[in-house]
Amino acid sequence: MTEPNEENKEKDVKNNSEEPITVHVDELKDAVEKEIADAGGEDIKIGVYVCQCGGNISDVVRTDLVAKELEKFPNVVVSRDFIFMCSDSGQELIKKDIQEKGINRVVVGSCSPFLHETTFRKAVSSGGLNPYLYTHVGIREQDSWVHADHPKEATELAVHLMEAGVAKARLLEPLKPTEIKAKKHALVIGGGIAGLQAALSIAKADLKVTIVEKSHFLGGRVAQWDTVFPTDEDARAVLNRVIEEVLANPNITIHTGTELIAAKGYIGEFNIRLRQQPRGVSEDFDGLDEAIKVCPVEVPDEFNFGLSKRKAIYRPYDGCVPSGAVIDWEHCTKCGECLKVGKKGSINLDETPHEFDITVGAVVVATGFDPYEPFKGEFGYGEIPEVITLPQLERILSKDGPTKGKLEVNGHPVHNIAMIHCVGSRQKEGVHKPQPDGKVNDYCSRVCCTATLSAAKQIHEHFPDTNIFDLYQDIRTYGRGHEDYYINASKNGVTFLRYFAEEIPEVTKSPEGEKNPVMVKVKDHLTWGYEVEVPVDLVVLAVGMMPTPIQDLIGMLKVSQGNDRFLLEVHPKLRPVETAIAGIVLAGTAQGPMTIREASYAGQAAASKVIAMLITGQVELEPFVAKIDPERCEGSGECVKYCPQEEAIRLETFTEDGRTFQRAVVSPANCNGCGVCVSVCPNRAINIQGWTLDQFDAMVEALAMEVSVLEDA
Amino acid sequence: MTISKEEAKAISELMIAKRKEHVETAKAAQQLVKENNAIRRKLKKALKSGPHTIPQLAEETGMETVDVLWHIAAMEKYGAVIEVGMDEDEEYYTYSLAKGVKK
Amino acid sequence: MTNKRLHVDALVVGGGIAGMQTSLDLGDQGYQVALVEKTASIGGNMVQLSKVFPTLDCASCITTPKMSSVHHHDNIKLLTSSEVQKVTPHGDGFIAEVLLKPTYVNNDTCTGCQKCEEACPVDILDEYDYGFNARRAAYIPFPTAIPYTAVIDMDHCIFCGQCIKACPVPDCIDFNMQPEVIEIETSAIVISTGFKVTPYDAKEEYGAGKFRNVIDGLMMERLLAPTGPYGHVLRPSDGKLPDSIAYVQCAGSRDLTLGVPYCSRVCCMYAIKQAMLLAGALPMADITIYYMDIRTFGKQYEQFYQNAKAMGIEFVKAKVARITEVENQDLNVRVELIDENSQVVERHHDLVVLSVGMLPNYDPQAVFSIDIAEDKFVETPYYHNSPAATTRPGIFAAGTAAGPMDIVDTIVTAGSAAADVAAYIQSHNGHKAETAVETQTTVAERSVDHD
Repeated sequence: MTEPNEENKEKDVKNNSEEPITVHVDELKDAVEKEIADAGGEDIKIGVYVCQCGGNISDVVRTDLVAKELEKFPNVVVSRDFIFMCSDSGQELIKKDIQEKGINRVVVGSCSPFLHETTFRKAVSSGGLNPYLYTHVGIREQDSWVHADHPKEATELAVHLMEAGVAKARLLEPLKPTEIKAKKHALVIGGGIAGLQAALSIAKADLKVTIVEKSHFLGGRVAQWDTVFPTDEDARAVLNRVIEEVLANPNITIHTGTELIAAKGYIGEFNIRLRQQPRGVSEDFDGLDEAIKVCPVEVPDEFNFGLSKRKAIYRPYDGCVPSGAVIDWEHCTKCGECLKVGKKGSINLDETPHEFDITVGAVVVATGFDPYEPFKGEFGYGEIPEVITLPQLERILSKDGPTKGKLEVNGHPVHNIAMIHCVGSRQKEGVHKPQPDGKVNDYCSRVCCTATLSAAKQIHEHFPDTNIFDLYQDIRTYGRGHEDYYINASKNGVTFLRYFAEEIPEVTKSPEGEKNPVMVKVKDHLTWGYEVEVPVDLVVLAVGMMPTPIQDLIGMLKVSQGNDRFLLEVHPKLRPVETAIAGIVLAGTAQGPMTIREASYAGQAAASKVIAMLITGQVELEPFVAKIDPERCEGSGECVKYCPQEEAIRLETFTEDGRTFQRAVVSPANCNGCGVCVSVCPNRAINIQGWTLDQFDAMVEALAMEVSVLEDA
Repeated sequence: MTISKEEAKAISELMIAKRKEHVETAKAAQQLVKENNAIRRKLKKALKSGPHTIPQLAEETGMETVDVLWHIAAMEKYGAVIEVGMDEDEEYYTYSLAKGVKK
Repeated sequence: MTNKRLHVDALVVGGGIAGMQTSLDLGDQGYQVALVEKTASIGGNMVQLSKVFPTLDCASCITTPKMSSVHHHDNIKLLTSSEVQKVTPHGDGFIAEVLLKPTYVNNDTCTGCQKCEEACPVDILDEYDYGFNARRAAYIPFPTAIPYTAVIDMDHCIFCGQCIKACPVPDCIDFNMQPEVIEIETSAIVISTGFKVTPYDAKEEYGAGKFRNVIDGLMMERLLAPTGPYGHVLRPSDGKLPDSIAYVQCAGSRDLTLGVPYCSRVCCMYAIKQAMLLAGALPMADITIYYMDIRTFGKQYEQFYQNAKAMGIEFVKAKVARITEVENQDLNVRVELIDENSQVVERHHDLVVLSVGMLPNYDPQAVFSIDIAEDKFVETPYYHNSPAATTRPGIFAAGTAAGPMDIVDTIVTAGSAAADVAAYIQSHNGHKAETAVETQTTVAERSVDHD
């Protein structure tokens, strides 16, 4: 077992030499022919296809010359260029060549593999070949797009890249995806509108669903709103329709007060550990009003966005689901006062969280959003009591809100309101204060424009004497029925003032004795940028959305966040609700700002994907996983030490010919093919299937070859 | 592809019958083909002397630039004309007859 | 009389991106789908676009593989050049009468060799390129059409017989082809009939249709596409490379005088995208966008807008009052600068693009007995709770049939419609999930005698 090491050493010496490595086609031909002869002479026939991408590639790269040049390489039986390889006729070309010319390896040079590797694998497969006898070469993102100004060099580069692809293709072997049984059961994380919709749709396809909701109540943010645009419906009515269906569906299990604490596994079989906080109060407790009265603890009521206080025994609103009260364990002092009222034994302050495991085939992440929380002093927020956020206004307008629907702030009636758009959205670096992660919120939060004007409409209807000043950058009432709110606001006498992000409005406390407590100063660009002073009784900040902080969850599920901190889909058009982790999909505002309707759409779309994944009870995993060469493995254990995955690789003891030794063993379903084990193995005993070291070596050699494509032009 | 006399005869009989079913549209289309062919001949004649821009072709043929552009685009699409370069001011592309094009 | 009857779980009407995605999502869940498309190829409006926002992927790169997947999906039966004529209730589901219009070419034997197209002597305006280029009377609709087969346009045929003579496949071109009606028995229906743009000549004061260099956004998509009519961005009047291009936003949307009070959602983003692509294609050209509000509300859209500003695209908050033609077929644009207290100025451009909005492409009331809303798009009465449901149980809507939206949103609504359809089928035909996949894998196509 020393030979391979010698070989490695030789290569190392070669790689360290100063001289650039150049290999000529003829030398390569000889080498390859020898290799094939050594291997027992399998007849390797490669088909090469260079995509023009309708000009995206061929406007820069001479795809015809590339195809011609590739023809010269050993084993290449056919080499063509074509306008759109991904189109039906392009795929047909491949199939025909497989069937008629007997090609048994396929190389396509086109866009990035991210876009269409799967497309071509399928084409290869429907032509009757093993789908893994395929190599994808990126000559658009990695060539024509970035070298548009250098067509000659770009063409040469394309030849190099394609030849490397051919070199790899020569060494491809048929692979088989790992087939595993899938649990016909999905986990939905988050009991807001998106999660509920997703759960409902999945359950209706006769799959089991478990919903876990971190808080003790279902409904998420929608429960906090009063009237929702553009139907002007009661938000609770919208919500309750979904909740009723969810509760009635026998396929759905709900755990409130529950969070994920560990997750492992893969599509088809995720093992999830959950921790459920106790409620502390039994469902049939009859002394809640009394208990609330006697509880000595007062904390800001998050349901009313801090506009009021609640006790340590509470429930957010009448009609909440589940309907029973809970103990706020974080703030309860266990003084025992509540134990003295109502039915005996209904409250148990000694209850402890319990942990349990479930196994599911797929996971829907529907963790929702938090309204942007302005910094203290941002537009006077937190310093001037008459400055509130739009969600707070929603609570004020709500009949079960802190003012029982009366338009009052700080005990004063309100006649003049300034509403400021884009607070915490469309921010600019250098103008706005960044979040703790150093980034400003440079995105649009999508819903706040219409939400603001919808609130203005409600105010106009219920409090017609109120004057509204609307400070905006662009009014984005984009959705179906949204524009009516803008038209309405103008009709109802809302005064619009336009500011630029670089010159944000100033909000200050009026001097003592002024009629209106707050002064808003704005440079209004609808009137030549004049500075306008607006004295008001209330300032409403139309705050944007930020994803609920779920850093722990992101770590457990290994999903990615975008630059805007929202969870990232694979591709907005190709796979808009899927994450890069197979079996984990996104729903609702965890992915980006959206309206209730859009969250419902997204929840159902996520459900569609989950159903497709699990309905047959069987899933296939890509075969690009580590493979041990038993001849070379000496059981050093380095791979096990460095493997970042759980249970992907382990040492097992074998006994052969009376000799006992250790050798690494891979669990394909747990391996994600990252290749760390390959790099730490001292014996070159591990390869990632489909990406072997020999294939890399061949590619590097091919890349170093001289090409002379343009001399033929 | 060769066609026997019988086949050719059958095709032309079918075409005569079909033309009777579509008298009006066939007539209009025929007129269009005639006009197009006349224009194409004019354009090809002008292009024989070398590359032209659209306005140059319009001036030589007495046509509107917008019509010249449409015909040149069509001729390019079906292989009769190729784009060869640009005029001095780099405002207009120039076009030539493709190799092997008649007239 | 014999009528063919196709048995499926879902009938999807309209083969644009919404219909294709709905079909794929249902097919992937194991349901049998019939996808009916009016035109000769699936793909919809998206096949005519150049690149798509916000990723700037080429539109073909997103569309063509989806088209191919639809074509080859075991569970999807594709019917192009077909229209649903009548829908009658049938148990919990429907029977749809579908008219298969003759294309005069046998789809099963045509190889797409284009010999007929080469032989055809008739050149007419090509709809695919909005008339900027020509097509033949025998033609394949566009380079990535699916099915990739020829069509004979009877309305422009001169009956010369050249196509038949050129065709290498015996009996492939068939001038005697007759319309056919088949019945599709289905549990549910999805309306994904898409949009058309507001007519670019609707606002007379903008002169489109009269002035050659006033075009609309979709026309500009063709000019920008690598497969476009000229291969470059040229002015339609004379083939000049434009050096000052103006965009007029909300030209057809948010306009009560046109009866289109709503926002069309996509025009801001496509104008910005085109401006960026033009800045790349014509580095010397000035590009100005006249707008009322910039509505870049989607994920990564605001950042896209800010990038365009940083690239030097000029954004002017203004209402365009009138466009007049001046010397050289250049254009004078009269604008009220909203940011300058509606001061009126005149600006000179040599190409103007009207950012036209969206109208529904089809009125489903008569055939499908579902309601449309005031905006003429399909009414979705369960707005928040079941956004894809229409006023008739078992019929759902996806994509722009239910109001303007971009491609990203369209694809999500398609997934949603698919979920709704799946739920509807499950609740009306009993739970068959355990065995559904097996029993649904074969489409029973049988003939029913109606003597």
